[in-house]
Amino acid sequence: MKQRGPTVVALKSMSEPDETRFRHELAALLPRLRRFALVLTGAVADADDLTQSALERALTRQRLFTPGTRMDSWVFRIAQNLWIDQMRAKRSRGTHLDLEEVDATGTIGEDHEMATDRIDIARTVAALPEEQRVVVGLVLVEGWSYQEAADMLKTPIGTVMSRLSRAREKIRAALDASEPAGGAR
Amino acid sequence: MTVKPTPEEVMGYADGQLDAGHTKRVEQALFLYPELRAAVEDHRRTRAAAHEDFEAMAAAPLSPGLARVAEMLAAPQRAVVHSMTSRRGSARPPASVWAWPVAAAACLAVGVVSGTLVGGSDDGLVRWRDGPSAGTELTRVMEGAPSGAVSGNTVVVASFAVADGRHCRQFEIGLKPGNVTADGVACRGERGWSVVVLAQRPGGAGGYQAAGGGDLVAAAVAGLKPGPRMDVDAERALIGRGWKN
Repeated sequence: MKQRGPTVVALKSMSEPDETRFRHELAALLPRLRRFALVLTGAVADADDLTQSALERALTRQRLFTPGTRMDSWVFRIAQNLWIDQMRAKRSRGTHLDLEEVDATGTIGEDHEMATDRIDIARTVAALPEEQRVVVGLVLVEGWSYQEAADMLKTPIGTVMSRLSRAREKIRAALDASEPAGGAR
Repeated sequence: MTVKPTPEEVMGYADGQLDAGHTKRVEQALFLYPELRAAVEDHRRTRAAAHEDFEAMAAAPLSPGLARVAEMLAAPQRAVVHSMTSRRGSARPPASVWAWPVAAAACLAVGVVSGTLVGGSDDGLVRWRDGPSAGTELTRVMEGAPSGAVSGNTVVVASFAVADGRHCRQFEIGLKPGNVTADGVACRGERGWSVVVLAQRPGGAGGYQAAGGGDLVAAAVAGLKPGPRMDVDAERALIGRGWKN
């Protein structure tokens, strides 16, 4: 009997176009999700872990997503909840800023003043209460409206504004402190 | 008379959150109150600084794990064991190379990833210094994760039955230490899941190839005489029954 070669296993792509579309929408969302995760975590390595976890959870729970609603809001909320869970588990360890990762952006040395500001702002944001950090991420970094942030957080718009105002005071203080004495930005 | 806006209104104005009528009223007040103009500038400054700061941090390269997920998400289709023919001209690797995973299959429980990884070698196989340990995350993934879903560092890429009646699943996995990406196949026997083959991808740490499965995996799968890939419904049903027919 003629010896046949190895069987070719033709493994077709998944037959559900909705699932492919879902994956692609998640892929498009990744940069924004990662940036939001950076605001939450203050460190690139932690942000990447959180982003990966959020995407994985979104994939495994995609049947819970309601088509026609905002995927970014849904996935950001997944990331926020994961982060809250992690913080509860690590509360005694506190937050940290991975300065090496900031350095990895290539800004330090090229523009020392700007790099210093970045470190100060990232450190300042990392030190904010979690609820203020989320609002900074959504409104200041991602450009969401107050109402959009309130909808995602399921909180009154006035609460979003008061959290944002308090967070801004601290960011402004960090910016002022990073300025050369007597100099204007 | 112009009513002095509240601090919240000033912040809303700076952030462009007010409607047209409200915006006009705040702008009228700004002419009269220099401190409000300074407050608007402060708000805009904090917004710009925060945005630029995190935008710059986001320019850092993706971690290998996240990059792998990004590739998987963006792939037009899930490519799996697509060819059993070696791109280097050999239909199967030398027996001495792939005999290791096949022989080991009988004793390797699917907890392999928790052993101390020695890393890749010239023959492409992944080995452990301390041997595998059972009952780990990979068993859970094999048992319950649908194809295409990412679970930790593992993605199941396909499920299929083989000639001896077992159900098998091909997977991709990122392993540490060494940041090795490997392709593997596990089959479910009477004593649970066991690894049939696990082979490091060419390209080393962090490497990613959209088409899963190397020659070693392909050869091992061919030796099992696989049937066609299960469709989503069949796979879901088997997962629901604990992989029992």
